[in-house]
Formats: sequence, structure tokens, C-alpha cells
Amino acid sequence: MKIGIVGVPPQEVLDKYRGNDFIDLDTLFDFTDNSKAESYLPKIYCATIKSIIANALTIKLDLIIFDNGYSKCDNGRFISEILKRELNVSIVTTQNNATRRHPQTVCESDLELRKKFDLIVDSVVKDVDKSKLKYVKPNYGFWGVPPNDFSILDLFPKETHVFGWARCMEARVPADLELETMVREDLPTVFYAQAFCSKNSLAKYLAKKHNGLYVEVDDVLDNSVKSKIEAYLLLNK
Amino acid sequence: MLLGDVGTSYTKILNTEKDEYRVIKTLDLLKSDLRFDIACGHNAKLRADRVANELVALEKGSRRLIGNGNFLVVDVGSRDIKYVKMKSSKYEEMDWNALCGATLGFSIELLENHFNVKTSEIEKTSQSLGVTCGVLGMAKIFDKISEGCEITDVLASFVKGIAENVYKFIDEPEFFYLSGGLYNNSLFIKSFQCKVKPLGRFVLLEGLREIGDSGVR
Repeated sequence: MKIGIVGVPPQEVLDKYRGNDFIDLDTLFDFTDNSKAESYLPKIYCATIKSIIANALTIKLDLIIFDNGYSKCDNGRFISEILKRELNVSIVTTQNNATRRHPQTVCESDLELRKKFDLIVDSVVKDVDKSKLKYVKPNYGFWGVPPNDFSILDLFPKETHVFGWARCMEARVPADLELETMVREDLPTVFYAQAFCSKNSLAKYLAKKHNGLYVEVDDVLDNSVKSKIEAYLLLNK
Repeated sequence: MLLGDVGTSYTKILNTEKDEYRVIKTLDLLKSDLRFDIACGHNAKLRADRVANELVALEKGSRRLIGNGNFLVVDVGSRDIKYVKMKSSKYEEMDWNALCGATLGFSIELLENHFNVKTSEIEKTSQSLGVTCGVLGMAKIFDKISEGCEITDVLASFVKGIAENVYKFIDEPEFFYLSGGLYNNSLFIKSFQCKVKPLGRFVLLEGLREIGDSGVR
């Protein structure tokens, strides 16, 4: 079976379908055409949510496992309902309330930041070998969700630790608000949120509180945000 | 060294050998073959092999002009607003607004040309035209004029609105240094509800000079 995954569904649900072909519908694939989502969503909307709809409309799926509660976001709850009504595919909706935090080895490893995120996203649906990963002393932090456009991650050196919901993903506790809001006081951190995502409130608040840099990105990274991040990293060297 | 701050509307140039500053229209630059040793700004990569970050140039240029210590410097450009706040010579805060809430200098120049008025010669007003950005503010200007308001009064309230926008963006300080093309617009400066000290139009060029001298990015 080809199964679309949204968010971080509970492990016991994923285990039930182990051995099948999982596809993360939150991902901006080369073939993802977000404009397809505009049949159901406003034109100005969260790019990640658009990608979920566009992927669900494009890929021939047998099942979607949609973690659509507060472990994902409000938008997720609404679009899971849209997909239920519009697609001829079974949809299992879940709320992941797991509280046992798994080690966040990838988030603190010496991998390039993009590679860290590739592994974090992969770790939702498959076992990732973390045995050879080495801890890196951080110079910077990146807080947020996996961005729609991963090129933002290339601006950071590998001495960057991951915080926010992405960290919750690796820890397999997507509804753990305490972990999501955890940051290191002394670490210059960029607080990232996808435009039109409610996590902007947390990003802005935490950035202000911890003297970090708040950035909001719609769809793909533009030059002014790129320059802003570069300047922040250089001025905090 | 030839240094360039290649903005959306104007390019500021410094020849360090002659210590000579000049300003040309960026459209004229793009029609010429002129290239810079180091440049920053929106169109810098089109005319320089070495491109420096604008905010870093702003910080380094301000430090060169003000000295080390605490400062908040704001650069209001044609298209964007950016600021850097330093405390005891260490980074404190920064932001850069190039999209919503921007196009300020560009809008003022467009209106001055349209109405053939120099806003720096207009008296300040306490009335503010609530503007979220230059473009949206412009629609309000034409509405006010159609209601019979004096053009100079409307322009003064537009500039006041823009100053309020900048003031909120930089978190309502008691004092700041102003960089950019509006440094000598007295109406703009008087429209702030805090003390403003203009640093001139060539702050980023001073930053580029510092970057060139030190070899950092």
C-alpha cells in the first residue's frame, strides 16, 4: 500500500502499517505544485498546508494517516476534513499525545543542518541509524518546523542545534509544548515560522524573549530574509 | 577601491583613493559598465564581484562614525527599513523590513515629483495618515485630496504616518541615529516623537570601507 503521512502520527498507528510505502505529504517534492491546492484553499495560505493538499491530489494513495490535532496545527484539522470529503481515499485521523521523549541525537549532531532535517523528517516513518552521529558544540540554534523551502537551512553552519517542533518530531512527542518552547539562553537562535502558520505567535514571542531573530517565510526564501539571517549569524559570531 | 551601495533607486559611490563620494541613479548605473570592488544593496550582485551584507555594512559604518558602545541606527531606504541595535559593542537586536510596511523613500519621492512639492519644505503636522506601507498610504492621500484637504497638509500627515511606522518598527526608542536618503528631510525627522540624529547618506559606504580594510565579509 502507498500511504501518505501528515504530521507525526502515534507510533502504534504507524507500526500497524509497517512494511508499506510511506510518503510524507508535508514535503515540497520536485513535482509538488502548490497552486493545485488553490481549488480548496485561499491563494494566500500556509505553504506547507498547500503542499499537503497538492501532494494528496497528485500522488495515487491507498490511505492517508493524518495527525490532525494539536500535535500538528489547527489548519491540519480543517484540511483533513477537506481531504476526507474530496478524495476517494481512506483517511485515518489521529492525535499524538505521546509524552516519552526519545533522544534528540540528530538535532545536536555535527551533520549539516539540511541533512539534520532530512533525517528528522525520515525518522517519522523509518528507523534511522544514529549510532555514528557525533555531538557538535553549537554556535547557533534554529527553532521551528521543517521549512517548506529547505534552502534556508543551507545558510547555517553545521554547528547549529535544532529546536522547536522539529525537535519534538525527533523526540516523537509532537504535542510536547514544553519541549517545543525550549531554547538555550546563551545561544543565538533564529526563530522560523511558515507564513500564515499559527506557530508565528510562538516564534515571535520566543525570539523577543531570548534576543533571537524572528523570520517568517512564505513559500520560498526571498533575498531580504536570506540577508537578514546572514547578518544575524555574522553579527553574532 | 571603488565601493558601491547599490540601492533600488540610487547608488551611492565612494572612491577611497580620492575620498570622493557621489550619488547616481541606479537605472543609470545599470546602463553603464561601472563595477565595484565591494558593494552592498539590492542590486549589488549585478555590479560587484564581492558583495557584502547590508546590515553588516550598516553596523560597521555606524560604528566607524559613532564609535563603540551603545547605539541604535536605522536606515530608511527607498524600498526598505533596516536597523541594528548594539549594546556595549555587542549585537543586541536587528530587523529588516523589505516587504509589507516598506517602500517608504520611494513613495515620498514619487509624491514629490507628482505634486511638484519638496516635503522637506513643508511644516510638520500632528495629524497622522495611518499608513501601513507607502503603496497603501498613497491611496489614502488621493482620497483626502478628493475630500478637499490641502495637498501640503495631506503630504505632511503622510510623512508623519511613515515616521510613526518606522518608530513602531524600531520598538519606540527615546533616541536613534538615522541613515539613508531621508537624513536631510527635516519634515521626516521632525515627524518622529523621539530624538533623531542624522548620520548621512553614506553610512553603508563607510561600512564597506571598514570591510575592505579588515578583509571580513
